[in-house]
Amino acid sequence: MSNQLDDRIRDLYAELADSAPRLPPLPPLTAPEKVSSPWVRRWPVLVAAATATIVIIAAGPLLLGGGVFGTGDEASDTTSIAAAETTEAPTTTAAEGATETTTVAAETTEAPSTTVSTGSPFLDAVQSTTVSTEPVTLPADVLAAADGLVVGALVEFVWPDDGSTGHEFVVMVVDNGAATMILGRDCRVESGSPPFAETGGGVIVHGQEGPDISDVRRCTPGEEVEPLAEDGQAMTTALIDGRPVVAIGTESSISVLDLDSGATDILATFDPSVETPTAASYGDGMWMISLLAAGEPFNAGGPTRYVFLDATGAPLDVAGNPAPDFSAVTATYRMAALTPNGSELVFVEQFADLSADVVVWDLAAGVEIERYRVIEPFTTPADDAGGGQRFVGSLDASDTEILVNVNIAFGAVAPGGIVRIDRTDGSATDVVSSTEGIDFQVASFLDRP
Amino acid sequence: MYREYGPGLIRFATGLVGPNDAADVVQTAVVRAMTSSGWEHVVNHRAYLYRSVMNEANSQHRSTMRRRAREMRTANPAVEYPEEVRPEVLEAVGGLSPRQRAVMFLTYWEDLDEAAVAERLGIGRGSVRRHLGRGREKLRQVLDE
Repeated sequence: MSNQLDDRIRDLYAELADSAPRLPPLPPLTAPEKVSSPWVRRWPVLVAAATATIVIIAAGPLLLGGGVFGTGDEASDTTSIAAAETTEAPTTTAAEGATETTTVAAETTEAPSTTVSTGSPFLDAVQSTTVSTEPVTLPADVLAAADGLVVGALVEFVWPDDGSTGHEFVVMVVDNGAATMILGRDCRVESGSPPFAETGGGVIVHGQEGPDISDVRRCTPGEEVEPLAEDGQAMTTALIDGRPVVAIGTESSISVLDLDSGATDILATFDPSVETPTAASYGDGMWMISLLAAGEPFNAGGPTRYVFLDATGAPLDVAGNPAPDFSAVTATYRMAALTPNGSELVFVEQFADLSADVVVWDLAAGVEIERYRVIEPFTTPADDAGGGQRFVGSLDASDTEILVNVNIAFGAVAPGGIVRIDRTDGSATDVVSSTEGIDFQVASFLDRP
Repeated sequence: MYREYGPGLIRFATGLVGPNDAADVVQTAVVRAMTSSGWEHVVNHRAYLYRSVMNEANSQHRSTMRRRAREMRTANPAVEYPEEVRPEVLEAVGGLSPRQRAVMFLTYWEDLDEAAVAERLGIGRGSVRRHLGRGREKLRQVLDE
């Protein structure tokens, strides 16, 4: 049987190879022009961005005035300043103006046999096949701000082999002031959910090898990355009776994978022609599933509703289940999380002017108890540097804090960042914000406080 | 060097992105490779060029598909092939990820063993096994239908 299959595959590839076009003429090779290509001209910008300006935006109002991350123009200004400060070609040291750095060597695995250094330790670190081979250098203030978080970032970088550009998603765990690069290449996350969290020493991420091919992986530095489940998206992790589990969402179902036993149970199924799950969260014996109506854009629009289930998947009638005002058709409610005690639902409302609030809803009382502005209105395309809509990409909540990631749809690598809201006093702190070349898209608590 | 390796690179690229885009991918990859600052230090030019083509195919694939897929879930993974290739062939290969396509092509067309594929693509042998296994399983499902 195996030989038969191999023969059929060989025939298939023979047919495919026969369809190959003729060898095209090679354009003149003009190395000097390549050196001055737009990408290379951006080197100082990217190096500065990568090594020195993964900064906390300390200046400027964050919430409730001025926007969380400012406009794209402001982001560009920040990058320009960084570029001006970097006058030399890329080096392996932090650019001028960088704060004190902490270097953390990740576990090593196979390194590319031929490597063209980017000159940036941070970007070099993401160029290995699966786990970083180079030290990761991040400013100390970033490490301090991101302590206790799992951070995902889309970086624009140069492939080590040939100098061509590409995008890569990397995952970092910041714990006790040390950052560990977990993954580069092919490990992706879907927007709309906190995709990973710490569970028993591993980190759950959503791997993606193609636009429609995804799997769920448990990743530990230095270990071979193998899928735990295929065809799914890691939406959240939880401890149920002391057992770590991960909720895996597909277009039509939510499943719960027991990480100890490897067993998977379908928690609920949905008709994707009607609605599809966008987020899942667990708190105190109760699951919350956010459902987006079929045909609605994932990063905008509505309506969305929330369903509550017990640990076995049986529906729970939660009297205080919020009923979003669907008359505001441009509002989106797809992002949501339960607090660990299951008493509050934290969700995002985004409005016609594209502003967005994070709302804390008391499920017992059925009332809104807190509201935080995380995206200010913007009305002109010029306000949107990425060319797309700014939206909340991920959300994680605890009893005392809320973690919100804001990014931009349809940009290549666009400004975005992570803000931590302190619910005890309403203050907000930028954990990280994107500069050109690095787009922080996802964050979740390592351990929900 | 281009004349020596070019035909093989074109076939390889055809296995990754289809014949319509294969020439562009190869051209871009080769130009970038040969004009890169590291080219003069490369020892294994053939492997280097194959990886360059794979990276270029990956970049093309990702730049056009990834973000939209993640945010809108409207991605269409289909690879466009000319009409002379049978539809079942297109369906089978179109369901593989770019890296799976690369591993499958080198294994089944160039008859490279696991170690040679790993060296050619600059990935680990474990990764080759994984991509090969998953690629075979996907093709088996399609071919059995």
